[in-house]
Amino acid sequence: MADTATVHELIDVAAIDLTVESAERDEAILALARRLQATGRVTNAEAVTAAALEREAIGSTNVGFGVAIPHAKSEHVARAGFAFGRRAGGIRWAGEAVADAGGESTGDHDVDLVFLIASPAQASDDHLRILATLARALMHEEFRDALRGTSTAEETLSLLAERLSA
Amino acid sequence: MAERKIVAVTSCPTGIAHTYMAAEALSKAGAAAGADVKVETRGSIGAENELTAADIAAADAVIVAADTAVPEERFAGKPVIHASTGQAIKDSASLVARALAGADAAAAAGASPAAAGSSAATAASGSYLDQVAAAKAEQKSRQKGAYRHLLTGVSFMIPFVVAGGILIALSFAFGITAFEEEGTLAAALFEIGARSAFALMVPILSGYIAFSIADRPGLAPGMIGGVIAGSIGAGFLGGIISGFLAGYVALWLVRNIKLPKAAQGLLPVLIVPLISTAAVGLAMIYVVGEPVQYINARLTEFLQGLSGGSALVLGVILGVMMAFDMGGPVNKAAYTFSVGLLGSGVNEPMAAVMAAGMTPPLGLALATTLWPRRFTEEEHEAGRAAWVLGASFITEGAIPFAAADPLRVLPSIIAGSAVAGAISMAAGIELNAPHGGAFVLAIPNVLTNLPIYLVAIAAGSVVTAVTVATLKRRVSVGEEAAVAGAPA
Repeated sequence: MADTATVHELIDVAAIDLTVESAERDEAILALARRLQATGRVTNAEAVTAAALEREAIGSTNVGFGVAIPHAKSEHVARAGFAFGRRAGGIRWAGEAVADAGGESTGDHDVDLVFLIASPAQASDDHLRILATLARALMHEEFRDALRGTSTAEETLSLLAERLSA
Repeated sequence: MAERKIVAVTSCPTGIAHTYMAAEALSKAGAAAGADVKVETRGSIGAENELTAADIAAADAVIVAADTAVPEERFAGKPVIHASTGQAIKDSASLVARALAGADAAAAAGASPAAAGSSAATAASGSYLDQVAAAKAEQKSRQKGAYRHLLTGVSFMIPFVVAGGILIALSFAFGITAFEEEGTLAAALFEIGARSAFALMVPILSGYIAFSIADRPGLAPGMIGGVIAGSIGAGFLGGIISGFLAGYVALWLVRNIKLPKAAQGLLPVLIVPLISTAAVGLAMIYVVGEPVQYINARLTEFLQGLSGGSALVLGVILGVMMAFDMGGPVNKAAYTFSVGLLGSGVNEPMAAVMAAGMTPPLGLALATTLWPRRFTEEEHEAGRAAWVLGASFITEGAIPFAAADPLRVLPSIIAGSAVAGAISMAAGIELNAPHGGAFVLAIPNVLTNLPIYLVAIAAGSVVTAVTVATLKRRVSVGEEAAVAGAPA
């Protein structure tokens, strides 16, 4: 498979926050969206947050194992990408207002790893593939543990680059 | 034992993350369980790692982990486990275990050639291949498609007919009115067989016809339409109508309703079930229900006008009516007419009606015994039970045959029942019990002239068996393969 896109096209070191301040889901998403706005991927952090929360309402993206992957597909996304947030004390990620409309409610368990994925209405397949690779990688415990063990944003970025390069 | 193969499909509303996490989780769990898992991901990139017909044919089990509608027709005949992507992500191990258990059950059923259910597995894979072929040739052969949906409905219905019918027969063994005594075992058996298993028969037929057409979205409107077919007295023919209606309505809705991404989750849980059920239900009540009542009322008047005329003609007409729709408005008109006459001491029509109601299952059972190659493996199963059901005057034993191939089976059983009814009426045989079949024949004073009555039943059964064998012989080789499913 031609590997035309690299993880560096999707995440900047400035979009990695190893000490997310808020323990509340909505605020954590907004904080990560603001980082994406600061790096120019997102044109309107509030609108992207709203889109991500809309997706949460259909089904919580708390997938268990302490991982949540809120995601938004929105015209307020200029370039596809993602932000990574970590909070050692956990973020409350309730499946509030979750009708079992497909995504399963995951209950009220906290998460400590959050990937906010932002995609424009028309994302390139290459970018979507990397996000798919990320989603797959998150199913592996050693990858999650490695993400929990990094001490700087740079270290996290190189871990992601290493793991997500095809 | 060779490594077992599982094929899976994952899909989620946004198609960015859950689809792939579920896929990865399933692959991981499969590897841990020593099974080969191939996962098709239907995400925003489009379908990737697509399952080929060969993959599916080789698979022992299927897992569909999806939050959106996924086309499942291609999996027909395989054990399919359904889950959300969330379940797959969190508990893929138990999904894989369930899939393998399902595969083992199917394999075990096929492992002992002597067992009654022997060719379940072959039949499944055989009919599966037919179904792939049928799907590909869908445009070319609509009829095969319709047959396939009927066969799916019938195969799910057969256990209900067999279990219910035999339990009713068992309740008669305690004496034909024993079930009327509350609190007795006979009453309990009758409750299970007649009021429960038989009540589910038409809803299951209808629901799984719709399921075959539209997958899961078809099931709810199909089963609910089937219940209405029962309550408006439309019988199994009404259930076939509601099943096809529900299937195509649900399929149309799934294909044509477009919602914004954020609201798509509402489609399978709210919008499709609500609209399809309302549409099918209303159609059954207002469009199908009215003519059914009209037919029933007019036929009852017609029969009343005939009484006192030629006994032979009345016998033929009662016979035709009994077999015409087995539980539908025509059958009910004949049956209630005869039961009503018992009260006025006119007992000949009752005898004709019972004979005519016994020959459809008996004749078909006879045909499966004499001409086994003209029937599917499932019909052989149904045929064995049909001996008991026919002997007990449980005409429903013929429904699996009639529902699967109405154009050939209905004329055959109508002919046989007409003969049985005619002989019984012409001989002036009287019967003063409204049900019971063979269980009442032995009781003195219930039936006059047992020998001729047995001749009537035997003659009708033979006519049915010969007719159905002749009509089925005309089935072209290709179509027979498609209808029969598997080479035995």
